Amino acid sequence: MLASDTAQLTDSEILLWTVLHNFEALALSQYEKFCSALATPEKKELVSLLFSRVPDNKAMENTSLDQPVKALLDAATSSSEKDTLLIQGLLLEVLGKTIYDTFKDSESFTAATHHLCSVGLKAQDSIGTKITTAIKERIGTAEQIYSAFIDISKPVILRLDALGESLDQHFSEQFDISFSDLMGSFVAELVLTCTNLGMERRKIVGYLTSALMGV
Amino acid sequence: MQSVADCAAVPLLEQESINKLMGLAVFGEKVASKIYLLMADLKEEFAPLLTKFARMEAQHGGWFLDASRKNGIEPDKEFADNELGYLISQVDQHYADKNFEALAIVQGFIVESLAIATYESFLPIAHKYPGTHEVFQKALDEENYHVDWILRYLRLRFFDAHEEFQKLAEYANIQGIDCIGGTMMNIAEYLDKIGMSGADCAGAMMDGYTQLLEKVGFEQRRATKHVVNMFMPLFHKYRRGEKTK
Ligand SMILES: [Fe+2]
Ligand SMILES: [Fe+2]
Repeated sequence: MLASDTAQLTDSEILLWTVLHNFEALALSQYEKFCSALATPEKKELVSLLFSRVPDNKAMENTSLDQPVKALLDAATSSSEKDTLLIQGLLLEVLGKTIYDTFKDSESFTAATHHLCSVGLKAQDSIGTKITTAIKERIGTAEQIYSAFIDISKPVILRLDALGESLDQHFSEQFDISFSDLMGSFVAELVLTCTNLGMERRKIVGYLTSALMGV
Repeated sequence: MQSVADCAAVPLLEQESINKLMGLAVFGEKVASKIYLLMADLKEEFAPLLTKFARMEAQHGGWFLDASRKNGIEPDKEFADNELGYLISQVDQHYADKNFEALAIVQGFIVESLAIATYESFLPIAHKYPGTHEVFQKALDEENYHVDWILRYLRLRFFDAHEEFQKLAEYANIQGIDCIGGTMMNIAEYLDKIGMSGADCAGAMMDGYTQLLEKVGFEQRRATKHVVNMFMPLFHKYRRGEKTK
């Protein structure tokens, strides 16, 4: 076992990982239900590691994060393979990758967080190409993927952005990270992922703009 | 003879909206003209061309004013002045610093991107205001012509100096987008009211602007991140119903 495996998380990091644990656990359970190929051993390892580090929601209860986290979890819970691929596989995996990529090099975090980030990135790596292939196979042409995506993703994007603002209230000073900036990196990454899936960039940028403006 | 139905008044909100938008178009063109003149003053070798650009921008303003009159539109100067004041103070600062390149970015990339995105989106509804399609199409073609030159100039000026360009663009953009992107947010609801989409225009502006940065040497991911990051606070303010400046 590496030293970083057992290093202590600070109280703020515990709160942060409690939030992230909720989303990783939801992703895994959705994959297990609707697209088992994405429930990889790496993803399972990540969720069980998070469970061992932040086993419950205590740190989050009675904070202003509780409500926006639940609202987003609710919006991100899908009832079909197609929705799971687009919401979890496309949208939230890109978000996870952005978060882990940003945190892993930040000196504001302890080695314990850096380690969890590297496990998170490994999990993300293990499903990255599988997601693209599954989306193309199950949903179809770029135009069909785009239509399906804009059909269901708006409430998730809005709640995600609202959560970003709450996260800023909690963490921005402490970790010297702005979640609004992180949202910017996430949106940029999402645009690139969508264009790699063949979607037209002008259309996807237009759609994300309207989603973020809340119209 | 026109019937009463033919003369039915345009709903007040739509009329107010088109007055504000035309105000911004007419007086924004005047500011564009002023910026090209300042640029002409800073670089003698380009003065003839930039003075020509300034005349073209002034002419756009004139066309829009005539078209407004023919359609009973009262360009709202007070609204325009309010939106453009922030831009003018930035431009004056760049001019005082003799920073030709910053002016080129603010005018040639940011202001032109706003104009192109909105004029392009206006064309499909221009038939509601007779005579406007022709002048907005002509202005749009000429804005693209201006951007073409600015792009060539910046590509050559920063050929093999991408880092320098990125630093300059990041410096000029932070205020520039706060200002012009802020105007885009402030006019979004008026665009919606006349049958356009404020969000589509904002998206088109962001995408158009990102592509310009890429053409001068920003790597795609960095350009996208840079532009999105600047717009995010504006989106938040818009959602909360706050004015952006
Ligand atoms: Fe013009
Ligand atoms: Fe122009």
